[in-house]
Amino acid sequence: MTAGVRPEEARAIQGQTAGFVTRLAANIIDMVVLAITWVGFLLFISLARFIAHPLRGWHLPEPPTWESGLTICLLAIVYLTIGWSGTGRSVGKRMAGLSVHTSSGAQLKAGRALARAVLYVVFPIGFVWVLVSRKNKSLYDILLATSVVYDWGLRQAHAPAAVPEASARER
Amino acid sequence: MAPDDDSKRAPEAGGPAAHRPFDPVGRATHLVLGSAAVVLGAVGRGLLRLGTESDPPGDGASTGAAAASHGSTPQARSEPAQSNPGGPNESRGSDDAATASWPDMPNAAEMALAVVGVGAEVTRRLVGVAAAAATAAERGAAVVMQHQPVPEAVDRFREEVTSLGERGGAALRTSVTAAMDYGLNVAAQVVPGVVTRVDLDGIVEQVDIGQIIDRLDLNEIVGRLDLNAIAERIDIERILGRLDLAAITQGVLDQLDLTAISQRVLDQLDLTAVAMRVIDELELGELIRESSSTVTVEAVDALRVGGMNADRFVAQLMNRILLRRNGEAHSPDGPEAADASSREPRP
Repeated sequence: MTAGVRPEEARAIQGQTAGFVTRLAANIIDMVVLAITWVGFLLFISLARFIAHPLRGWHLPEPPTWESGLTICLLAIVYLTIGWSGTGRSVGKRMAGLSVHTSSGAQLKAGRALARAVLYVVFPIGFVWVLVSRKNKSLYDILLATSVVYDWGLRQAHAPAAVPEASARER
Repeated sequence: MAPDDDSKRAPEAGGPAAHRPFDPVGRATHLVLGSAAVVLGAVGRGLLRLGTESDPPGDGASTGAAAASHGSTPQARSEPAQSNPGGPNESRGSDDAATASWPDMPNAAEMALAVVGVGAEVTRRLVGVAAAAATAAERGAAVVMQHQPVPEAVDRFREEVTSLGERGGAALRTSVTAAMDYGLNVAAQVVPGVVTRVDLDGIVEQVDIGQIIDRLDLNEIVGRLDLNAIAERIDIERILGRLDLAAITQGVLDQLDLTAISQRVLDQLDLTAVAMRVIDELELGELIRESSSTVTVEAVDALRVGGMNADRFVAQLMNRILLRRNGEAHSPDGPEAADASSREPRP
């Protein structure tokens, strides 16, 4: 399956900004993880209710839509914030071989990671700017000076060089 | 004559006589004959002396003649004259008459001696002829003994005898085989009838097998057996080749109640302990981790490679849509990005 993967080729792209498809795949995996987490959360609540009131029987909670949406959004923000501020990777980005860094190559701090996560959840369409951007940057990357690069763990992903002129021009 | 002839002819003939230079028979014959001649000569001289001494006085002339012929002394011739002094005239007259009638007639002794000599010579010649004849007969017999007058006939006779021997052996073997076949045929015809008439069951019932077994010392019998030698003689492959293992296995399986056997085995087995022991031996957890991690890594790598290729494709597509030149857009960040940005056309 990996017969066509050459370590030299993979090493050559480490640290380069990731493209649209890879980042989209990572986001889809993160959404699946969030969905599973949400279902697990509902099962946990129902189990707790069943234990507390077994005579009422076993049934999944059916929260209102706004309540579910708000919970999922909060869950996503927490999940992405933890992932990006810790190792720079959520589960989806880890599987896709990506990591999130600042434009100078430093690791994201909690505040910037939280802001990026909030923007990510509130305005997800900003991700599509990757298609238009000449440097594969989404709106969140442009606003928060972050970058998503290929990072397979083969080497320390080198910090992307700061291109002030390009960033200013994009802005 | 014979020895001289042999000594002269033997080298020239080159026959069997040349290999026998010494002829003891001939030598012995001549020795005997020579001895006989010497004896006869001695006897003849004795008789002559006796005859001379017994001659009458009237025979003085003859005596004197004989003595003269035999070298007698004058003294001997004068002795008869002295011994017969009475009538010398009378005896001398008769001798003269006899001498006148038979002047050269030998006396009896000379005659006897001549006869003996002639006889001896005749005997010697006869013996020589006999010896020559015997030698010739011996040579002829040797030639006959050494010569095979009819070798081909003898060989043919020998071959005939050998052929007859072989034919006789073959006939004997054929006869033995035929006799055995005939005997077996007879036995095959007779034995079934005998078996049907004999009450084998009754005989077997009368046999006390237990008593026979009690008498047998099986340990001693088994101890005498060379089981290794027996095992070496057994051709296992040949036995297995003759066996219809499929039919045997099918027959065994038909007779076996596998369900009951399996149930009994399962009842007696502690499967949990066996499974735990197998898992402990196999380190199954480590195997699962290694295999799952390997599969996961390979899947993830494939996903990543596919994503990279898709990224390039989408970037090129967007460059065409946005009318960008390749290499200007989607340049990677990092050291390469600086070069790409330097090449970026200024609007």
